[in-house]
Amino acid sequence: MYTRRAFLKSSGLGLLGIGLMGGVPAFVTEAVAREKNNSLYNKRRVIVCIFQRGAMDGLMAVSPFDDLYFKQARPTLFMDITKKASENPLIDLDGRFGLHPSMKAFETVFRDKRLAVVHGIGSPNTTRSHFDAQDYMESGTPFQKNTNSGWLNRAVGLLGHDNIRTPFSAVSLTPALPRSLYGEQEALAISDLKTFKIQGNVSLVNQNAKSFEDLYDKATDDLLRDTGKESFEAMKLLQRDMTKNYQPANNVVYPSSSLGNSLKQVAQLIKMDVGLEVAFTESNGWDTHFNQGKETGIFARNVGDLSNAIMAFWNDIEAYQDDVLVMTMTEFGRTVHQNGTNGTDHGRASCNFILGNHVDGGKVHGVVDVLAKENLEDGRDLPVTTDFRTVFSEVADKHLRIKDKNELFPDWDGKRIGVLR
Amino acid sequence: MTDFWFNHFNVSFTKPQSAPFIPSYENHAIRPKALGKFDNLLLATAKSPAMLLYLDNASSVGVRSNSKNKVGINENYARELMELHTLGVDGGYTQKDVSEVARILTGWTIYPMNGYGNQNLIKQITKGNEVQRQSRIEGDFVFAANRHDKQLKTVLGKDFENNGYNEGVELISYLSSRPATARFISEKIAVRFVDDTPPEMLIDKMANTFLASNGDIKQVLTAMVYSPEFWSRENICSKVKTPFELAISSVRALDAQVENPNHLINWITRMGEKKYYYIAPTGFPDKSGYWINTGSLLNRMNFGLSFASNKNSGVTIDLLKLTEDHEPESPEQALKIYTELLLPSTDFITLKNRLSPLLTTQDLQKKVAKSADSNFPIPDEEMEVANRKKINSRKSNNAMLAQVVGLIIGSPEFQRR
Repeated sequence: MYTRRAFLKSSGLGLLGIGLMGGVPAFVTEAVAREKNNSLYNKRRVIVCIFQRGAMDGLMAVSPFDDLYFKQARPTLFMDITKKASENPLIDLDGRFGLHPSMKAFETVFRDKRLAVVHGIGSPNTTRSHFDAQDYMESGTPFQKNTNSGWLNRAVGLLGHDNIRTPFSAVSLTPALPRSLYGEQEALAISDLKTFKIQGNVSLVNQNAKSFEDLYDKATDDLLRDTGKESFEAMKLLQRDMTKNYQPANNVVYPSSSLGNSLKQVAQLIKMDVGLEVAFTESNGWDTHFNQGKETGIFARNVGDLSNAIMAFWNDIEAYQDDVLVMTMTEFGRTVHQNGTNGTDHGRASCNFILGNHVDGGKVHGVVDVLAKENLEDGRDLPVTTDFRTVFSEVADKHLRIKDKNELFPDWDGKRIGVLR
Repeated sequence: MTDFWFNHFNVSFTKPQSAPFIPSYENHAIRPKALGKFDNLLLATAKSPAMLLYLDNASSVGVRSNSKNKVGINENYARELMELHTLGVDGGYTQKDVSEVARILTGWTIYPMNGYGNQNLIKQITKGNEVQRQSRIEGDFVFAANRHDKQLKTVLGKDFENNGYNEGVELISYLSSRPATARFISEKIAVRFVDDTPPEMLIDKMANTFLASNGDIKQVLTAMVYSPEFWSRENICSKVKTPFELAISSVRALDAQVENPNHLINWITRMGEKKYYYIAPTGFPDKSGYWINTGSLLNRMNFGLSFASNKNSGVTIDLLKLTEDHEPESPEQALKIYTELLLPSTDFITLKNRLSPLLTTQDLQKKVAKSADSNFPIPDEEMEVANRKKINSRKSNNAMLAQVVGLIIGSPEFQRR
């Protein structure tokens, strides 16, 4: 079912400053009225999900450095904790796990107890196909291929405040809509927010925008008229606030990577206060079958980019941190043993990162046994000891305040491990 | 119809194992059978490597008591075969039926090649024993008797005795002839061609034709087109064009020459339809609400402007040629000419009334002329003044035409079919 949603300006900021052509439209006034009824108990929260496509080697990101079985399994890939500081050793998190040195940016928030790691996380479905595992993780139904919707789209539907929904409630900074956001709820997929406007030659842009706006305004077709109205309102909001030379707060510098760019735009949306609640973006290149490297190399560059981009984002949105949570996910982990080409093959469990002010951080959650062969899944892989739904549903509940777990993750028993306070 | 069936029997380039087989799937499994009998089409998709790999039936192996092997049955395809391809989710089957269908289809797999499929398979099934006689190799398709579950199966109350490959063929023909299938397929076709919620009467007629003709797709379509519901006023232009349809209808209406489709494909993706990449086996939802949202709508308007202004490299349009060289002299005249071309069924006066104030009072021509100048500066000082004027006016006129056509393509009316 297609449902109409009012396009509204969210709380507080800048209502009077809107420079819309033709004066302040009715939706703004309506928004003010509705937001008053909502805001006290239901202030908008934002979740930012980052999918690491390709399957991150969780054991190299957060390494059990005192595990001799692990050291044996990875003759050229094992990383040491005991080196001198000048040699980039692992960062000791808790006496047992070491953070990859390229993720140094994460150290402060981990020590501040705002960043948590869940180790041994994965899907109960044992597939080692990227496609299937991503599909299952994004739909949130690890044994059902025919689920139409993604879990984040269902989450948007369960937020319980349709009346303050806007076209920017769910945004994916990707060229096409990800599986996680398939579904009934409107979601915007856009790789560059600057292109969210009528394009063309400078002298004609306004003319064209005006022509289209009039055409849609007078359309007899409800769907097209109403969506058209939303589009133009959204476009004007963005054009008003999306400055060409965005200056992040705290002199933050984002990595000039695709992920850095995406997270920068998420930060802009959050600061513009256009109603963002679910943001999605992705990071690629984790399928490290060949020469994955240790302190340097592909893997080090990837985790460096991931942590630097996330921390740039986090510091940029300092004023909004209380309402924002960042969560990474990856379809599965990689083999405990390295393969014949100094890489790792498809495995089972990996780890993920959760960052937020009400995260039970500074801990490596989950269960990782000694990596002796008899403790491994199929004798080769880190076993999944925490179902990804445990963590996703807890985040949905405690951060987004979604109580209807059965619709979000059908057939899930709702177990928790306490990653949020 | 090829497009319709591809989406109905969706496979996706996002699954790398399936990807190399997809072009052939569309052109050899679907296209030749798109207007034939439904069970033939269904059988062709069931045996295609694209589908066998996409929904994992290629790796499904019957469980034998003496087997040391850990691989076993995979129900993915069996479930979608009933839920999405034939009976529909409310088609009255149970989980037990899904498992039984999966057992019937054990052994349906692909001929091993380029690392796909089981490399030992051919050796095993050509060993020259009983297994060999029951196995079957047809192009890329293999029925491997040694993987087949030979016990009795029962689907929707019908028994399937051990009969190797033929069990599956019988199953497909059985599923194709169910009333639930006739209805499910008829409704889906009507949703595609008539309305998001087509009239029950129409679906009944089509489903009856489906059953009476043993699933003759051509006859079902004919029944649809001959029904009064198909032509009733409320069902005219009630469907929103998919991004693909929007692009293709623009190409056709303007007689555009497509030398390289890449640019067009990028626009279609940007408007929300990444062709051949829809991940889920459901295919793209066929509903207006899915296609029209704030982001996609802006992209539709931008597509119109970009397309008409010949900015799509690889696509050329000659707007003047379309007017048979009666060059329109005013935006209004241009609007009339191109509306007739692009929106023949739309009331021109209404559209004109909505657009013409913009076209006449807001200095469109002046602005367009300015933009045309800045796009194509003519620096040659020597050029004869009169000549320069003529060229400038020609260019500004071309840009004006593109402007008008872009607005029509991006207009609400052109989004419907």
